[in-house]
Amino acid sequence: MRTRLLQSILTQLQTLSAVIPLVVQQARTDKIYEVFVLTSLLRALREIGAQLEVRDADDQPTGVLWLRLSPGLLNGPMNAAGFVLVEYNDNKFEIHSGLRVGGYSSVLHELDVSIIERSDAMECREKKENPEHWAVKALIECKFYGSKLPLSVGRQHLGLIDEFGVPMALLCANSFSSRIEAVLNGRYSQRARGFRRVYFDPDLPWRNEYRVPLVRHFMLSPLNEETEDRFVGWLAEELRHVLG
Amino acid sequence: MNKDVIKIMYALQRLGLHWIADQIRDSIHEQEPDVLRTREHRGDDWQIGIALRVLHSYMVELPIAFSHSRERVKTLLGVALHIEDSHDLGDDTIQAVLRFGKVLRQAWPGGSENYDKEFGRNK
Repeated sequence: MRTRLLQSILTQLQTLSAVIPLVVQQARTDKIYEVFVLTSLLRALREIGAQLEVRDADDQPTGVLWLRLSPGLLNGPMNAAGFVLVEYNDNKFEIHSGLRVGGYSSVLHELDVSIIERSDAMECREKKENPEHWAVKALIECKFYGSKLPLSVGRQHLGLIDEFGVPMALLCANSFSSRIEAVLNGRYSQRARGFRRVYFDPDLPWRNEYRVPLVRHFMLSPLNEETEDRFVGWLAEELRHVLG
Repeated sequence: MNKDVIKIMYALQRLGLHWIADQIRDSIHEQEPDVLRTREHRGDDWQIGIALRVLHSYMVELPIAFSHSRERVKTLLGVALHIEDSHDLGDDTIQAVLRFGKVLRQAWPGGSENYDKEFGRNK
């Protein structure tokens, strides 16, 4: 690398690190990406004509969508987060970010972005309980990496699928991993398990003929508008079925 | 390891961004066997590519993701977005981010056109 360019990189790094403190903690980077994916979900919901309203932790309309940095409980006394109330075809749901939900094992797991049945969420608020797997209509795992995704991300996603068995489970990432793709495709091939395949690949036609609930969506980035637009369009179609 | 990559990692550590430096190091170690197996060994420029890709992700892509998210929440929901313990990014900051992206593009080992193919945006 030319010395002038290297020096410019080093100088600007110093400037940027001071003005974008959101990169100082790794936990923040994951959260920022999670929120970006959440906004893609909101776009898709708008496309299908869903009504959206922001609520605070007490389930009251608010002018600020307040999201916590770390995963938490629906009824967390210190940092209960806001959510988006969704109404679609007379059905109501809530979109949460970083919510801990009980899986089949009753162990609580963090769901990066989730769509929860409104009635279940309201009951949980009233009874001060945690939502359980049956309340989850969709979950989205969001992974932001500077380089290739580690294989452990794919393994974690499969583990989450086993714990929830939801109608829609997506793995969204800004990066790519052929090994994760191979692992997920291996699971897709287990047709005997009766999975409904939903497969999105920007290089393939909109929908494949096979359908199972495992989806991976790589290279989803705010800098790649075309891919995101296609993802939003695909997601809108899927949401019609899942929420309809 | 490539001496320029070492300088970048050292700068990151000095700025308290150890975890980004670690990710560069880990990515290089992880990808080294594949690089050595799949192509002729032509120096260590590929390591610069990894370092710049990591910098691009965290110092360009991520701030833009944050900025887009705030705008979208405002447009789609008509409310402000607030993430716990996070501050807003002003226009000056976004301009600084975009300038940094241009420097990374110039420094990209395969040339600027190759950078555009990789990231397809941020010109």
